[in-house]
Amino acid sequence: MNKIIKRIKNIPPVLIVIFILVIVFSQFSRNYLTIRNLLIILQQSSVLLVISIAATFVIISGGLDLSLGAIMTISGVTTALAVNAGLPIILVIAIGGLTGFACGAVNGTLIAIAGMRPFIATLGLQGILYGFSLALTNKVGIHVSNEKFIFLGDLVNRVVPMAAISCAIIFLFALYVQNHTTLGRYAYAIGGNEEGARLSGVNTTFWKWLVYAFAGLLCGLGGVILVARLEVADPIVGIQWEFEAIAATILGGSSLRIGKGDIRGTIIGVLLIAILRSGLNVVRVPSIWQPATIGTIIILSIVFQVIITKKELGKK
Amino acid sequence: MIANKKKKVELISSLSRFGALFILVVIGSMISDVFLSGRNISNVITNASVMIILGVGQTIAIITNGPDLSAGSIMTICAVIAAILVKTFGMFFLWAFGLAIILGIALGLLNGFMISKVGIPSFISTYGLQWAVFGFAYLILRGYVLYDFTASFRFLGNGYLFGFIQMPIAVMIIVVISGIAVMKWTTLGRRFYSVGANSESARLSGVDTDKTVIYAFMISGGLAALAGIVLVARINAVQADIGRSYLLPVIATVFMGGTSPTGGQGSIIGTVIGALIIAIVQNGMNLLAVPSEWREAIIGALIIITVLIDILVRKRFTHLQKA
Amino acid sequence: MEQTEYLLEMKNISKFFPGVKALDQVGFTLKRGEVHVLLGENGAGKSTLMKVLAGAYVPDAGEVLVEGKKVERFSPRRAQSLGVGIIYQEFNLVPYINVAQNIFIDEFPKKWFNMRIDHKKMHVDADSLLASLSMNVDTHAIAQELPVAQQQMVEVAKALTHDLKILVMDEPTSALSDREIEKLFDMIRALTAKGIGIIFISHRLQEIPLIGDRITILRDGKYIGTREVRETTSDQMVSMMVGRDLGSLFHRDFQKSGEQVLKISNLSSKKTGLKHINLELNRGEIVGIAGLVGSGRSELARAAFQADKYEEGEVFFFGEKIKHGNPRKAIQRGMSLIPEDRKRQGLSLILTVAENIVLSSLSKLYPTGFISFKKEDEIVKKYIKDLRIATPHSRQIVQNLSGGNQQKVVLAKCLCTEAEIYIFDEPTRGIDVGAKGEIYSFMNELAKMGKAVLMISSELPEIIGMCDRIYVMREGNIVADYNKENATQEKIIAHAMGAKKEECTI
Repeated sequence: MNKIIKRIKNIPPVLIVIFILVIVFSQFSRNYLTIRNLLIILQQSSVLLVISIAATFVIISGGLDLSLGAIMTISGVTTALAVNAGLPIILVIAIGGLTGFACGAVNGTLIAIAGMRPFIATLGLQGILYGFSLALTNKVGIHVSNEKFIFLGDLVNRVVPMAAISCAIIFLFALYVQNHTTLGRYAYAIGGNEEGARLSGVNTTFWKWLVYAFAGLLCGLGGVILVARLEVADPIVGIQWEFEAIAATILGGSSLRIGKGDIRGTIIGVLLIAILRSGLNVVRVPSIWQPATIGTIIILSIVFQVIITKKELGKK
Repeated sequence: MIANKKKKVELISSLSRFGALFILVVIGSMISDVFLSGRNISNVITNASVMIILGVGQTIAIITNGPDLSAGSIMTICAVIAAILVKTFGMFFLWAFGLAIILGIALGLLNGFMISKVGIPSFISTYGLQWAVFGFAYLILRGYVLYDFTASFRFLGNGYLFGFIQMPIAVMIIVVISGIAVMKWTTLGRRFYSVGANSESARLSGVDTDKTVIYAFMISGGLAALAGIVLVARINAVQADIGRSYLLPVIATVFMGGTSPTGGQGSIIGTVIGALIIAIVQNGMNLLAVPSEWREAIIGALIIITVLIDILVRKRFTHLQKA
Repeated sequence: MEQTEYLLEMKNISKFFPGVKALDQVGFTLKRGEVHVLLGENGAGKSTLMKVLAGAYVPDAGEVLVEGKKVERFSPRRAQSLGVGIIYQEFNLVPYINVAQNIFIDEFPKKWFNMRIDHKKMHVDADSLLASLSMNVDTHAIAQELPVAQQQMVEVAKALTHDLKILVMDEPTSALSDREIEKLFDMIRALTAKGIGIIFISHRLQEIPLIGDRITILRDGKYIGTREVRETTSDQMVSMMVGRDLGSLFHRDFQKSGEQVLKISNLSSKKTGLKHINLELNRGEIVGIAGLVGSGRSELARAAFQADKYEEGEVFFFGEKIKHGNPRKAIQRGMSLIPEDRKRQGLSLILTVAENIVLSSLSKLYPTGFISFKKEDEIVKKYIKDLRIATPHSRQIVQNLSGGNQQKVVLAKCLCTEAEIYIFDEPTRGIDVGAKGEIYSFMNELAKMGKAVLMISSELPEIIGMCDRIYVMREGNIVADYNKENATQEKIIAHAMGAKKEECTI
């Protein structure tokens, strides 16, 4: 009996919240727990997952990036421009990714090399990037219609969720980087004990730089897929994304300030946000209510998460 | 000797701010004849007023704990509430203002509570609150624009005190003077600085750090509400994203004014100068008809460049100190 | 060929920090296969010197030669490639990654054309490295969860991943049990047999003859001398370290103690590890708490000051029980704490001397909430004069003062509250001998004025020299108490260490 209670206690609270939400939502609509709806949820949340793992990487390394949404946006814009210029798909993807990498590299340079506070540097860059996005698009979205490109984010034949598959590939790539490369391990080292890592001979400046640049790369790829899915590059689409990404990271159990965390946990956080979003539609919450509701529920969840983590730390 | 060097760095750092302000004024007068006209100058200062009112609260928040990224959204929702109370419910404007400011203070309290009692870092909790509050503002106004308020409402934005001081400027001056007074001459101001400088030492010295942080964010929230009301009274219209464009410039204002991002150091006068710089830059962009999409980018670049220069100046001078 | 007699030569190294000369033309040499002990009081400059060797600090003057070659542009990485390994006193592993990754942190074994970390090889290599140290540590364990002794072994293994020539160990025995120390010494002997030079920083005089070949002594950032360990007695070492007879530092006017002001009964806290603490403090007394670092001394002080919560037990101030306390309440009721870590807990370094001094007394001095600068200047000037704080003026930033003067600012802050009970946690750590003497005489003054003083210290001579009564702590318990007549260093150490062996620490 005790064992069972212990097991239940070990389930992350976020999962329980998700479970309850799913049950509640499925009571409202028979269409909720259908394969088709789940596919749609997957398609809609997959890019957020990519941005969230970028946020998780930065947070693991003890940093913060408020420009992730903006990086995704501008990468989407350059991607759309490249598609419409008729470039081959591979090159298009590379351009999107490189745009993100370059933006992340700017963050990394400002933070790791020049020594700026992450939130100032990334907030400043956020403003700059949205400016560029608006200017490059003349303030209206750029439509793309190249079928080969759109395929990357399409729900092919209404069954094959290509956006989710593309994002899953990026996720596996990120997971590989986290667990099997020097970059991933050093992100933990810098977040956990930066001075210790430096004294152990780790070039912390370079690796910190690379963490931001890598996060930028992920957002760039996320931007490519988002444009493919929406078939339009909107110059302000990324507003609020970094908040949801950071929230997903925290809800996924990666705590702030210490070098702990795992991008696998972030999936749960993204799932919660995705289910909330789709559920609000099912429950017929008018779209106008949704930003406020989602914002409030996310904040409440973070508050609970932090309180619970604190309690657990206190027990030790 | 070392102390002198340190003082010198501070001096150079603050002189550079006045220098930048001066250079901008010169550049401004060169690019346009209108720039130095009385009308334009009063326009610049009036525009700066809203930013300064926000900036004073932001400075106090940053000195004590960290940035209040929700200020722009608090400003918005309070302006919206005040406008609706007057316009839709026909409430006497002063009561409406009072209620709006109380709402601002309450949201600040919520921020302070999440930061100090729950322990969520300020940039997360305030950033999160921002999105929730913007959501509510949007929910209330639904993309409409409320405009055309009564003369008494608009007095705060367009009226003149003693017949010659524009009301926003008068409000700004009162806020700045009280802000300076609080930070300099009260024990509360001391506590703000001490908590920002070293929270653990402050706690062990008997300062109620949680309460101090909550007060700082309450002040920031209250001033954000005030700024929102002044802005609406001035432009005679309100919509659900009115405060969105203010967040970045206000943060820029505070850091350009020399307030330390790590807390414990900074001044309200510095913020005033920073706000004037930003207001001149914005005015210059107006005069030069810079397209709107570039404006945020320019402000963003301005933040990064000023903070970068400050870091470089400090590095250079601490280097000299060693040699 | 003559130059290569020394593995390492450090010549005329100087290092300045704001307000302090941390190292003043210090020299140091190390031969192959020797254990060279670096001895000195806290703040003598040992750790700074080793951080220069590690490349963590750039010296302001002087040069470092490794195997006769001058080293330019020192950095941690460069130091490593030269074969310098350092085991710091504080935890320097990355907390949440496993042992093997910590060992190979600066160069992971790779496969797939360097595209993938070879976890398997890493664990095998780590295992064999640890086995060569005859250690049995699980390489999959998370670093933070290991006991201290094993963490140390991981650090040694980490150093061995390079072609190690010089190994610096900063107080490696301070947190180890006797058996673990034996093991450590065996390992050191095995390393020296391979020709590795060891720099051994220690506070424990007793263990120096057991392990050391030569000894170099630093005092207040200056080089005092180098001796052969065989030819030097403990007394000689002490006098070189202290530069004067220890006894003369302490002056105490003992008197009859007065009413009870503080009583702690049966206090326990799971979080801080305190167990059933009983303690009493009376007016006119100085009561000492001795024990090793980590034995719960500071935790006890913080619990008494209401800075940390405790689950069980009661604390009485002047016979009145404190409920749901916090530091603010403790100060209001007349208690004052001089915390262990001056820079993190005691001072707001970027604020001024005046702002720091009045911080604890704001509500008392200015009940209206408005600051009177005239009053403030008067009070602050009085303390600057009384405590002889060396500062150009009262609006000086505290960061720019020397350690001793910083500590006096903390003391002034506590005096300004006009407290009746003073808790001093390591009051003389990292400050020069002159300032130490002044702090002792202030403690004596406080006791004479009928205040009560509780002093926590790692330096037994100061505890024995100053205190009426002494409590000894070990692992969160009070294991013994003495009064001034029957306390000796040997007895206290035996209880603090939980061993029969008679050891001496300075």
